[in-house]
Amino acid sequence: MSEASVMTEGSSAHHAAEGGPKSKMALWWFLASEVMVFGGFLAAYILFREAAHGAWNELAEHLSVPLATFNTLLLLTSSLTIVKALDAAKAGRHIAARNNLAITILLGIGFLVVKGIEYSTEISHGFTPLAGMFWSFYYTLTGLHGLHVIVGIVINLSMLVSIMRKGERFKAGNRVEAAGLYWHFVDVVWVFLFPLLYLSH
Amino acid sequence: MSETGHAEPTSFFRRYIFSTDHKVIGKQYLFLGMVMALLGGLMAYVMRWQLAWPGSQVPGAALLSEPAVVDGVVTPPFYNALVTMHGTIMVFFVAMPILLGAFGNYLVPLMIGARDMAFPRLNMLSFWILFTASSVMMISFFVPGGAAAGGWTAYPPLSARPLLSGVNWGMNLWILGLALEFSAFLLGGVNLLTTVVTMRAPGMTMWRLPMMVWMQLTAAIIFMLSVGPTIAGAILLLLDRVVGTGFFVPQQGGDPLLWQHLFWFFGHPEVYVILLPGIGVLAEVLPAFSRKPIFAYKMILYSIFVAGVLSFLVWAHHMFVSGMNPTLVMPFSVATILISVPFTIVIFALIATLWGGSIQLPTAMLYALGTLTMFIIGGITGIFNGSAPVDIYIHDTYFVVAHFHYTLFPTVLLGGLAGFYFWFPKMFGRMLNETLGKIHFWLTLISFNAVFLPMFALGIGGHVRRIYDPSTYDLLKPLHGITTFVTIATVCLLLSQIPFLINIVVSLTRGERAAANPWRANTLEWSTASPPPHENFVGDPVVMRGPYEYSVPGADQDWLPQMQDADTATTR
Amino acid sequence: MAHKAGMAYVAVWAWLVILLFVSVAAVYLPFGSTITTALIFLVATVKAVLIGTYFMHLREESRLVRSLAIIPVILFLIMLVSLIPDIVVNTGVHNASAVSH
Repeated sequence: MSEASVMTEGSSAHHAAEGGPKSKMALWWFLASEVMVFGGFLAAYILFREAAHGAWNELAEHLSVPLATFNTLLLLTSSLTIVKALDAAKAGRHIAARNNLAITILLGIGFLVVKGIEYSTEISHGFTPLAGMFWSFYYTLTGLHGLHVIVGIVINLSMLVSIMRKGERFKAGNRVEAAGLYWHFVDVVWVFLFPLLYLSH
Repeated sequence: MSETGHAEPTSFFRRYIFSTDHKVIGKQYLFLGMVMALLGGLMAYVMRWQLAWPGSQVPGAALLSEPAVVDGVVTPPFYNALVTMHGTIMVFFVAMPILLGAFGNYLVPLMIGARDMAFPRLNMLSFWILFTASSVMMISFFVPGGAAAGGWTAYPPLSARPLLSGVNWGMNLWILGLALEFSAFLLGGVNLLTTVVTMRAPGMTMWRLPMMVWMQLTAAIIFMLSVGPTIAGAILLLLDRVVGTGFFVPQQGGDPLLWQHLFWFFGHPEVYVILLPGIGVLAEVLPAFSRKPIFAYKMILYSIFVAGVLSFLVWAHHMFVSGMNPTLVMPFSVATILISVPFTIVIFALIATLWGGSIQLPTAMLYALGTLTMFIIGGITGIFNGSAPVDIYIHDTYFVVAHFHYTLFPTVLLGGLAGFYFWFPKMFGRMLNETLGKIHFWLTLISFNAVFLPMFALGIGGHVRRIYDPSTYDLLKPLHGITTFVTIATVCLLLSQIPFLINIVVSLTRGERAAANPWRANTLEWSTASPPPHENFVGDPVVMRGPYEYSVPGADQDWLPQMQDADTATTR
Repeated sequence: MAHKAGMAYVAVWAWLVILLFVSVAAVYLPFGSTITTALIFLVATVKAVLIGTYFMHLREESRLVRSLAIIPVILFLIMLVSLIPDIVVNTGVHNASAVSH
């Protein structure tokens, strides 16, 4: 009976030291709440667009489908490279992990650059955020998404620095997986933003 | 993140200010919540003085300055700010910090047999984010234009166009303060969920969790799932204000009702986020002082889960008279009436817990009984509001104010005080004075009813909410006596807290030292010292049974702690 | 073993790219706008499910994590559908005119 009180194996302290499922669970929790945030924005956009009964379709034609398609390609590919980086990190192949992570970051930066090109083209044609409800939504939705991309790039950069500094000693724990999950989430949001903004004619 | 097994900090700052110990953080939330409660209560006092004696000098208003208060008289813009900030502070900076931040943080690791939360440093960050948020809210009073004044519900276009309300930075700071508060509790929620899922002691199955832990968990989940649309709405509102977009402005093609939907989609589940920990307090206190197991543990849980799901489907009952499509009125009205069913089951289960018990009446139990009975009044009056034809008449009157004060006040204040009196010995190692406690209870209970019961009559009589000077309306002149009575009762309610504050100071310094388990209760926190050591438990707890094994036939004492060896705890 | 998993990821990526071009091409197909819209959003959903299942490893995760992934989506849909009668059908009632710009 008193052994029970002296027991140390399997205790919560031991479990905690592994940092096992905690970061991943925490990140899924965060992602769930982010789905609701983006959901709020998307619901507002969808509802207003439907309320316009097709009037926004011609406005959407001022957006560049080719550029956005290219951007979607960039993000989809970056999801591939980050999951490969994670796999490599887990297998101890830190060079492959580093390279794939670097490509992910570059693809993310590329996305932002293309977005910047889109914005400057649209603004030079007079389509500012205040040019009407469609444009207000366009800049708000893509702007918020872009902010999330920037945060993702920063997170990935800090991981890259960590891998480069530690080399073989880099431990691919759940933090790498958590960063990957965040990046995939950003990709999934774009997967819906793209048709909602660009393809709904 | 550094986990358990770290040495106890020694410097004052690391022990009491920037601590990662969930017990310290819980007390910090408690202290912050109590300070904000005092501020929110004083705001109500100033408001009520203006209502009872319009245009008169408010005692104590000399402390406030122009342009809010002119010669001691509350100005209309300041009155609106008081209304807004009273509601905002009470919901977001009192109810949530006390019920979730304080009780959640302090109790959950102890009750599951863990040494701390899953992410102790994140826990500390959450508190300090909330502290910053509270500061931002209070600072908003002092910027040009004053604090936000569009109601705690911030309906546009009034809230979307600074020119309409005269409030500019105050409202922007309000949005910022709320954003910070949401962040604090989102971070806190992830901490709580991860802790409960991954750090329960051996033998602590989900079905052996104390009801308080279930309530905290469910509340955190509801909060996390509901707050998103309001965050989206708040960002859109901020853009409207600062950039000039027109998401909620009709002239620019926007829709004010969109805000209302986005706000109440969260706003309604939020009140259950607040309610659930209050029920958790009852679920711990009532069995302990009836010396009986809680009645129908699983039934209560399933009812709470059903209610949690339903809570996402009733939000538009706040909008029956908003001009929204009438087609939506009936479904939301039906769902609202339906949600009373699971809560009624819970209330009945709590009453059944008392039935046939050997009832003891320390202050904590008095407060618990007060919470239960007063909440029943609140719950019943919810039916009237939920029934759309009736709501058309009573919406935005003092009837609604009475309803939600009869639900929120019992939950937050009476329930919070029940928890405070119950867990004070554990938290601070001292017993509170019972005589002062009982005086506090009766004064508070009677004053509370004196304030809010007449409001039902005021509401039906036509007294609408948020008006500055009722004496300008002929309709309200016959009701003025009631209004004055309510104001006097408000002063009494505030003064009734004095015995409480005295009790705290006296007990902390000279109170009788508390044993580990002064109430002879079963949950894990009572099997360790009062207050618990830094690592919560000596040795590792192993759980042998459920939390409500009171008066088990054949046992030699009428309580049976969850941990096997009650004497592994260091008692004094 | 690592290679096999690696190829699976590339296969998923290939499908994602194919689906992307399907949805872009759909705009130019002669279907009615309702069908096209439905198709495009179906494709988007499939892409999201692919990313979630394979890249985010939802297949190997616990029921709790999978619930965290799916429940917000359901809530979003409930919110969206509930608001249609008010914000879409009722246009012009609470705002100045039908949203046309």
